[in-house]
Amino acid sequence: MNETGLRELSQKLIGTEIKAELLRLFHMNPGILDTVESIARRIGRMPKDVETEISTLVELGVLRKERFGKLDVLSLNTSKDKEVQKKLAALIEESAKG
Amino acid sequence: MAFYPAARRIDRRAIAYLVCTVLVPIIVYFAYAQAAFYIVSDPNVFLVFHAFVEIFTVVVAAAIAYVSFMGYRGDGSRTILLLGTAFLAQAALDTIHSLAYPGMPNLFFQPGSNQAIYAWLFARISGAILLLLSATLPERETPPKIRTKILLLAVAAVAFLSITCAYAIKELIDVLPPMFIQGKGLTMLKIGLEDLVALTLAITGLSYLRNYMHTANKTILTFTIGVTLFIFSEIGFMLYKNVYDIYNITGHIFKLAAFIAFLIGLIRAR
Amino acid sequence: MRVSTGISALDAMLHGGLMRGDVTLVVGSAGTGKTTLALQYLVNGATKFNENGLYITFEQMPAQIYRDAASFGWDIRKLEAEGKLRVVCTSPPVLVQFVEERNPIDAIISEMSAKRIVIDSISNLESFIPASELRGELYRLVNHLKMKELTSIFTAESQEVFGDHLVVTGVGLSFLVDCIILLRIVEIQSSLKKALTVLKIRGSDHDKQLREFEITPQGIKIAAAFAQYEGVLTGAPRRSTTEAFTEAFKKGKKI
Repeated sequence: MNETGLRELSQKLIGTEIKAELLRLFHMNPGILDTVESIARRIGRMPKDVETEISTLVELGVLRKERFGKLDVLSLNTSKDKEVQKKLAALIEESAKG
Repeated sequence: MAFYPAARRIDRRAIAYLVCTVLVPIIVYFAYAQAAFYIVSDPNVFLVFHAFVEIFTVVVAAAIAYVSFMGYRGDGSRTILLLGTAFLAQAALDTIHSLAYPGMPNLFFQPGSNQAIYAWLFARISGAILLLLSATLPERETPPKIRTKILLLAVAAVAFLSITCAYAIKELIDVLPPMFIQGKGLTMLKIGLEDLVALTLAITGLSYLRNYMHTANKTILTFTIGVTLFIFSEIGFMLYKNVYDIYNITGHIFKLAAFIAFLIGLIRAR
Repeated sequence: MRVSTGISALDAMLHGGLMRGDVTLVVGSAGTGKTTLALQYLVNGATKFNENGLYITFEQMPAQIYRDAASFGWDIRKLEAEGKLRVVCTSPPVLVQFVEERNPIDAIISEMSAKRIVIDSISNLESFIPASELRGELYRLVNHLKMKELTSIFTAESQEVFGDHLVVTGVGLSFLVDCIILLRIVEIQSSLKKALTVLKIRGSDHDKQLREFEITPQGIKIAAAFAQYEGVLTGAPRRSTTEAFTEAFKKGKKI
């Protein structure tokens, strides 16, 4: 069960290279408050490549999306991000024991 | 610092200027040795010429003193303080010399040859000593807090010297040893004192030349030329037999040329 | 009422500091120390004057800012953890997004009760906002920050590194701001030095001298004025006659 949970969570969180890059970007620069296009530019990717990945992270709650006028602005949800990290850490520990 | 790298940077024109500065006066004085060149000017014409030369040199000396004192206020350099004081003394005392020249109106004192010569010697001796000290004493920086006081002291010293000179001319001229005897010419005392002044200026000139060899600075070059011309001016003032004669005229022309060189040195400072 | 920058010599040049609620433009070419000055203003505010600050950056990533600040002994992460300072990395369209007078950074300003803000650099707006709309957007932004009673610093890039042609900004921003501090690199006797001057401050007198400054391990340190030089703003100043004349005679000088 935990192995499956771990696999699912890690797949959702860092299953692709782009997601890993996004997480790295936000963890190193927690003050980012930006649009998809700008975030894509910051990791050297095209917006269409990162849209889906960002949506996943938003679903997980790690990223927060707010609408301002015509813009969707993304930022790191610090508390949720810590929660997810703790959960992942706990799953890894359990999996190691198991 | 090796001599040769410095010499390479020195303009060939500079060497030409220096050589001309020495050769031209020598040729002029040599030519004067021929009797045909000895003339005595009309006193009125000489007075106008003399007034023009002295006014020009006083103004240039005052300008150099001002710039030097401003530089001292910002920098605290003892060298520049002494330089400024030397030129201030020249400006003040040459003014007295101009007023004391024979033929000038009796404004503050009775003009006369000895009066004018004493004022001249006050200016030359004080100027030469201060310039020598400026050129040869090691550099020292005055703390900013006392610079203004030191400047005021320098100005006060020049004022004291000027008052002493004016007093000597007005009240003591009859008891002081004569410098010029009408019909005979200059006394040995006068010639000896001019020799000392010329020697002092020569040491200063050599010091400036050495400075120029190290720095290739154009202001120093023109001041070297100026001091050299001043020495030749002094030679003229050792040779005249009449206060209106060609040697006196030439002495003043070389003095004018010296101050033109100083003025160029000031203007070209960059 | 004045807001101290924490740099005493700069406060003296401003006759006490920046005016509260004003927008100050710090303009200079690359490498002149605009970011350092702006960051120092915020760090000093947070650590010395109990005024929280917000640092908005467009191009420089927060990670780089943390690293650069650490070289001056400023622990930005610690200040962020304490809620005294926040580094926000965003893009110009986000910053100028106003919906019902609300802006994306408003929540952050309220949350941390920020009193100071830096936008580094305002020149980035030119790439994203059409020229015809730029001045209007800047005007709106300036007024929004003033309504929030923030004392702001905008940095702006000057294209000219050297030369006698000085353009503060190309969009008329110099007319919108209350204070302009100019940073310039100048060449003096074959070395590059940094010069700082206050071009204007509305409603107050200011020091009109051009002063040398250095970026030291403790941040910006302002030194003496370039009193002995003329034409410093051209980038290639000449010594004044007095200075040159004095230097000519000073001993110990060699080629």
